[in-house]
Amino acid sequence: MENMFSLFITAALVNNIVLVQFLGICPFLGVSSRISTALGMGAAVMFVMTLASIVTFLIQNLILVPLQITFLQTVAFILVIAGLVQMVELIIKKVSPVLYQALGVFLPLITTNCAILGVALLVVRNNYSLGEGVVFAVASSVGFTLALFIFAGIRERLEFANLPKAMKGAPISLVTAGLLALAFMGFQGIG
Amino acid sequence: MKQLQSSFVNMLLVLSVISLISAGLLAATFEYTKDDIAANQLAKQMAALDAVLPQYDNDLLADEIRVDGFSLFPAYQGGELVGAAVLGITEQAFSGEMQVMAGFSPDGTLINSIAVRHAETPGLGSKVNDDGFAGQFRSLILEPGQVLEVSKDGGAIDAVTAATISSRAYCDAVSLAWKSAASFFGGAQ
Amino acid sequence: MSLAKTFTKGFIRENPVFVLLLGMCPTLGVTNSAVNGLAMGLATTSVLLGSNMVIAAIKNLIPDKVRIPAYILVIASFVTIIDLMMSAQLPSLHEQLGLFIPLIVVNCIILGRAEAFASKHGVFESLLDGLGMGLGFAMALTMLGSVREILGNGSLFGFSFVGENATTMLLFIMPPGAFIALGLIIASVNAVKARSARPAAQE
Repeated sequence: MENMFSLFITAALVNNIVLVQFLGICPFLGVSSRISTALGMGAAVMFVMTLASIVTFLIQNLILVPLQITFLQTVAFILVIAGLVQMVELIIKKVSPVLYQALGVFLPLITTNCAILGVALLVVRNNYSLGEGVVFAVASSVGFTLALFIFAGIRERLEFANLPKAMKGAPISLVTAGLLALAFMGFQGIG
Repeated sequence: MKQLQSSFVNMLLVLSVISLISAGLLAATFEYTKDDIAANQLAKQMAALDAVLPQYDNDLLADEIRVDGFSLFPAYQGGELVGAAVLGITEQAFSGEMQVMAGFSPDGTLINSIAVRHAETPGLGSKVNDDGFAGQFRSLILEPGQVLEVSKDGGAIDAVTAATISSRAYCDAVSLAWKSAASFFGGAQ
Repeated sequence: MSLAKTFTKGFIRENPVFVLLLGMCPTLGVTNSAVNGLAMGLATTSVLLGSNMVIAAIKNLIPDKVRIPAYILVIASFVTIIDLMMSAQLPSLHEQLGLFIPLIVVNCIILGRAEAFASKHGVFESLLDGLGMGLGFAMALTMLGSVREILGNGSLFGFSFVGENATTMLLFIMPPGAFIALGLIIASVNAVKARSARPAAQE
């Protein structure tokens, strides 16, 4: 149990997938500066990431490895993720139109979110068990949501800042992200 | 040529054909590259073993045994045991696991060591393979049961600047490797 | 758009990284040295070339409703081929780039060009588009990699030009430095663009 806790903290904070491992940067920079949007994206990512990690783990261990076709890993994984996202979108649309209103627009973007594929690949590369993989996926998405959330809050303020014209937009976002990453480096001693 | 209509049959057909061609192409590429890939991995492992062991004349990979859960490669020259290399694996690295190949001689000297697998920050944690750090382990005389630690933890090893965690992990891997080697040498006598 | 323009737009005017802000993950993730940036840029260019050409060639055979899965299949195949070839021929680079090689498949640049260009143009134009965008990407990555390597490690392409014990700005080798360096580079690009636009506006 203690091991799982340590795994969770490491995946969410010490090796935060956005600020340390550089996965999921596109939605991180592109998402609007509203906190509600950040939380919506985070929730969608958490759902898809966990589901995708489980399914890709099963495919890797029940199909790819036994049949010795691990070279099809990239193709299989990305197709699984794309398919999952489509399916999730359809299900949410049917089951809860309200939820669809809130999350729906983010779902297609998630297919090309390198964080999903990245985490799925990391679960395999780090030789995690299914249980560890699930913890890792959930923790990674929590870390992603956390980074997004903090960043959205900062960006809300940035909109009113007096900046040189050249710095407006992407540059100041990136530098801010860098400072946030610097802050997260403080977690290195844990885990 | 007009675009194919999105009928169910067409969609299924096109995706199936593309999948089959893709699978075939990838299988062919895999066949073409797998020998080279295997050779690369073998070369890498042999390079690491050669770097940490003295002269030997046996087939290291064939003589590999497991001691205390780690892979141990005994080295013989002319039938006499001249050393053993152990692949120490630690989970304490900054990022993922770290694997250190460490070679020992039967009299308890650490001949040399090299981190063969790690995901540490390039230019920072990866400096554990620099001479300034790894060199500290060379020709170190060890007692059975001895554990190596960085100076911050009261040990004798100087950690890499700003990469204490990677340095600690390296020490841990080497200590684990020594434990296996010591018990192997003890058993061999 | 003339053929020449199709090729050159990827370098400056529509540079995928500095202007279109696409492909951020590998841009930040593997530019801790100039050679890594260059290698990743060239690997991505290879995939982009292959996928652009194939998609342009078979675009009329793909029913509209399944074009995204079809494109993904094509792109993923090329990524796997590059992955295997690099593992066989360039093992140390392959190890350095690690996770980011399979992640080329979700590089928004590749799917983006397939959607925006290759699906609507001929094979040769798509080749030029892919080559231009890819090399522009490679150039951006090499630039960022060089800046980070020079400032953070005192070397360029592995050639060190400071002493063994010199103090370098380690920050730039690490994640925060990547963000900050890229942000400042884009700011510079913006400033240069604004300055060159000003004389035109004042006419």
